[in-house]
Amino acid sequence: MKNLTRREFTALLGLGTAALATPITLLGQAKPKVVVIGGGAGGATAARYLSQGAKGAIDVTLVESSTQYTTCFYSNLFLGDFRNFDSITHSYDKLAADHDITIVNGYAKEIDRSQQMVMLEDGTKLAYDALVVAPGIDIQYESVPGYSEAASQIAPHAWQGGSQTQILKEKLDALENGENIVMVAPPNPYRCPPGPYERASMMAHLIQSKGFTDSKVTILDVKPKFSKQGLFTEGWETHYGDIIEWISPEIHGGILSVDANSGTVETDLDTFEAAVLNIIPAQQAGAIAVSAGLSDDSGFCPVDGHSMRSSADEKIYVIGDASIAGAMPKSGFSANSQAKVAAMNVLGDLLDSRVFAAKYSNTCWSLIAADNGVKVGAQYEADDAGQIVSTSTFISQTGEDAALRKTTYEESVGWYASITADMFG
Amino acid sequence: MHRLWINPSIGSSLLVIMLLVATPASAENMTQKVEQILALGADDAYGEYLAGECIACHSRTADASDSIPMIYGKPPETLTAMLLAFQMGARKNPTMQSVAEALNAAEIAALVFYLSKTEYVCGESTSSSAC
Repeated sequence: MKNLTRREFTALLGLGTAALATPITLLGQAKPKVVVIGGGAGGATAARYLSQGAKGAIDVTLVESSTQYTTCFYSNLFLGDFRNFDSITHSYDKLAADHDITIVNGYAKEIDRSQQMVMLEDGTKLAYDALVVAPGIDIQYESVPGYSEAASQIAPHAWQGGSQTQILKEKLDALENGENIVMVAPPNPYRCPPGPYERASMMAHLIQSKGFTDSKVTILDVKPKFSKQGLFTEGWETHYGDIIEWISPEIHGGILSVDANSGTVETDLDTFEAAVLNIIPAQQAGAIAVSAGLSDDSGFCPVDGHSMRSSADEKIYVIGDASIAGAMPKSGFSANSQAKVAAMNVLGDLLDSRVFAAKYSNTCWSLIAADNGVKVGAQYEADDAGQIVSTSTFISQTGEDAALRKTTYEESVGWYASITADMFG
Repeated sequence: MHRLWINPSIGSSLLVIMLLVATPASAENMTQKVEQILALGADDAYGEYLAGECIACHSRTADASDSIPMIYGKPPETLTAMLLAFQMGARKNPTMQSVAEALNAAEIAALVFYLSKTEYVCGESTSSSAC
């Protein structure tokens, strides 16, 4: 009851100030306007659910700078030759055709919170009654000494789907026997916690598939432990012998510098040389969320876990990787789940529709080797303090039989098809 | 006496339960639980919201994948029995056990009535029997 009272109060407050700011919307002379910034896992889902729920009563505009979206989730399977690039790339055509959404192909440069306006790079101004901010992550290049955006063309991070993914794939395909791969894994919090380790698995799979006997994958981690560590360690030993070596910061002593041109990573312990460098730096919320003052010192955006409403601005919701979503990991699944809660609350604000207690979910599948899938996941809700907490969790177990691991992988294939259809059409 | 008026869908869910639990007595007990939950009635707005979790994995496109079961358009009795089977661990999938455990009786009722009314989206290449 405490939550409901709080939620109802928040909804009333939102509607009240909306009425003051834009009385015209309450007179029925214009529809309320909702702008969604970012057409990724969170933003595309939010636009769709806003449109579905509003049934024409709200103008929904989705701003996205690309004409298609390559998912970062499942991109490791492209790297490992389990998927082709087209299968992880989605257009917005179906979203536009099947739903009442105006898709603006442009770059959102600035949010004027006092005027409730989004400014695009081409000078277009979009007024909003409610704004959903879903810009994903920005890469903090300077967090790795010697690394830069220019260096990422040679030593890709590939932690944003698209051209970065393709650069890394080309380099992996050009690898020759005896040449090595070095990955620098990122500090918490970052997009897709098991992702670097699934990627290392796919790299080892490629080495093995090519019949290379003298190539290795070295992970230089800046964390002393990582997601699904027991499962990955077991899988690497089983499938890849000593191809993958994970080196913790206690051993290598810290990343001193990266030189993309010479393909070297210098640490306290040693200098590592590789034909393929995959440097995954620290991350923060997409630039527009930071410049709009929605982030805190962590570089990500605090929200009320009951609604995904920004702690900094009651007209703004921040979803997906840019948000600080308590116990939820940054993932495409999480963003999709958060988008539905945010959309429901926006509709509650603007149309006075029913708002239910927030429920979230996430599952992260990882592929260790062919037909060897593992998963970790949880259900979540918001506590009285507005923090998102897990209510039940699960994780694959070490020692599971091959049939179960195959089923888990096949489940992830079904999930990818379903969730991308939920996002993009 | 009880079974005389059980409708076919209750019968099929009872069959599901019989396969999952040890004794006819516990199956009878489960059937009563299903009936108690369904007696709480539909709440389609709530069901639609709760179904947002399902669709992340259970596609509404009928031919998307057979690796994740089809759940739309099934009788509410069958869907309730399935969720209860996951709750009690008689049916095992860590994801679904976690999902089911997070649902209370009213939520299950709202969800299954909504799902049972939800149709598959059938594309040109759809070959599924659902279309």
